[in-house]
Amino acid sequence: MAQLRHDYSEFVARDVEVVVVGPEDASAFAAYWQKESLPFVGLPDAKHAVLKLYGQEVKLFKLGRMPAQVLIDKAGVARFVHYGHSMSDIPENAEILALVDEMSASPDPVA
Amino acid sequence: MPSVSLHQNAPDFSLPDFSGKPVSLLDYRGEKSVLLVFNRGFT
Repeated sequence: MAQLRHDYSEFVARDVEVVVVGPEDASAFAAYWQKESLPFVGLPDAKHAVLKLYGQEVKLFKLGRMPAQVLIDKAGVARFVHYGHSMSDIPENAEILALVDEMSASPDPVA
Repeated sequence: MPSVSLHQNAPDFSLPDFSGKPVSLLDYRGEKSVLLVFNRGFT
């Protein structure tokens, strides 16, 4: 999360909003956002509605949820989907920012 | 298990943020790209 905060201005400069979804409740989100001074959108999903919709993987024997990232373009199309296979399997911001730049250069996805 | 496919429309959702303000994926359509981050827990 600190990594995202550090590069948030880079995302904003590219017209990207960062939206964090988690299973914690609103008060846990509010406390964490305040403690860490996080600038992006935080969505508590205590009922796991979005988490299930997007298929975030839960590995009971690996202590919880695996990280996942989905980059959605302005047309609502998923342009990058990453489901982590371990707790530390998170793409670098630079990788995602490079994809955003590619997206801007070629707005129509090529399957 | 459901998941999101590359180059397909991302499923829309609507949830209040932690301050109660409604946030929908559709709100960003045509305006901004969205990096959706599924948190692995606050540590």
